[in-house]
Amino acid sequence: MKKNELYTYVTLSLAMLVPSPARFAYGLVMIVMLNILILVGTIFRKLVNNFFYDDLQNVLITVLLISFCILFKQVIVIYSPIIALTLGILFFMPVLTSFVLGNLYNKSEKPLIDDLVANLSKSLAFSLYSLIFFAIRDIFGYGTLSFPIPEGIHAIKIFDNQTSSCVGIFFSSIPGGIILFTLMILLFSYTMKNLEIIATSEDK
Amino acid sequence: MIESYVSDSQEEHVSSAFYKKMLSKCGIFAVILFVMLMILVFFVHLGKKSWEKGLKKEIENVLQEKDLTQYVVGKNRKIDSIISTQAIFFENDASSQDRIYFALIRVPTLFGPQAAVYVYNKTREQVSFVGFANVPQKIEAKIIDASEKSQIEFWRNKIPCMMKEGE
Repeated sequence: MKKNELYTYVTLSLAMLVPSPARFAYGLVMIVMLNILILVGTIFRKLVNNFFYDDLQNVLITVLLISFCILFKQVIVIYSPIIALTLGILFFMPVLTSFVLGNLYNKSEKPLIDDLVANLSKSLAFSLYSLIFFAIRDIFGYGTLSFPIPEGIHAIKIFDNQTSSCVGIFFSSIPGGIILFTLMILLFSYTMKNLEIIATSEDK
Repeated sequence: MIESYVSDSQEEHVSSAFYKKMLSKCGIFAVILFVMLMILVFFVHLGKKSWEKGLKKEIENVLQEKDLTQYVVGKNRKIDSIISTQAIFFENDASSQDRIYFALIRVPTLFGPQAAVYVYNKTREQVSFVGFANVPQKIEAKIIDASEKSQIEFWRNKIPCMMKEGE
C-alpha cells in the first residue's frame, strides 16, 4: 500500500465503512456496490474518452456514478427493502471519495484491460480490508456473521450464549468503528513499511 | 479580391464543420443523459411495490416480537414529503376507536443507522417506540440505552409533524 493510497483508504473508510451498521451483511452490499461502480466507471470512461472533451467527460462520468448509485439502491429495494432503508444515503457516499473519483477522473491511454486490472485490483484490495473490518465488528459486537437476504439479515451464530461483553459491543458502535479502522490502518502501514525495508535491504 | 473571397469561404466551411461536430457531440451527450434517466425511472417504478410490501412485513415482525397482537398493519399511508425516502407509514387495520398509524423510520444511532418502529395514536396524540427491526434483543437493549433520550425521542416528537406535513 503506497502512502497516497493510505489516505484514500482513510477517506473511503470514513465515508463508507464507519457510518454503516456493524453487520457483515451491510458491508457485503457496500463492497459489491463499490466494485461494480469501479468496473462500470472504468468501462464508461474508456467509451467516452474518444467522444468528449475533458469538461464534458468528467461531467458524464459523475452523472453516471450517481445514476449507478441510484440504480443499485433500487435493485436493493427490490431485493431487500429493509437493507435499502437502513443504508439509505450511504449508497451515495463512495462516489464523493477520492478513491473513486481519483481513479476514474484520471485520463488513461492504456488499453481497457490494463485499466480494469489496475482499478479493480485496488478496489478488491480495499474490499478485503473492508470485509475483515465488518467481520470483526459483527463477530465481536453481535456474536454472529450475517448475510443479506430478502427478509433482511440471516445471522449465523458464532458465539452461543454470548455474554454481553462491553469491549465487543463497543466495536459495533461508531466510535469503536473509528478506533478499529485506525488500528487496522496502523497495522497495514507498519507492515508495508517493514516489507519495504526488507525489500530495500535485499536489493543492497 | 478573389483570394479574400476564397479564404472567407474556407473559414466558413471550417467553422460550420466545427459546429456540426460540436452539435453531434452535444446531441450524443443529451441522448446518453436521457437514456440514463429513463432507466432510473423504470427501476424506481419497479421497486415501489417491493418497498411497501417488504417494509410492511418488517413492521409486522417487530410487532409480533413485542407481542403487540392487537394491531394489524394495513395499507400504506403516503406522505408527500422528502422524508418518504427514509420513512414509511401504514394504517392500522384492526378494529379500534382510535386512529392508529405505524411508522418505520431510519434512525441514526450510536451503532449506525437502524430501522425503528413507532406506533402513533393520532386520536390521543401519543407516539410510542416499539423496537428496532433486524436487531438481536441484547444489542437492541444497548442501542435503546444509548439513544432513548436523544434520537428515539427526537423522532417520537417528529412523527406527528411528519403526518401533518404529508396531509
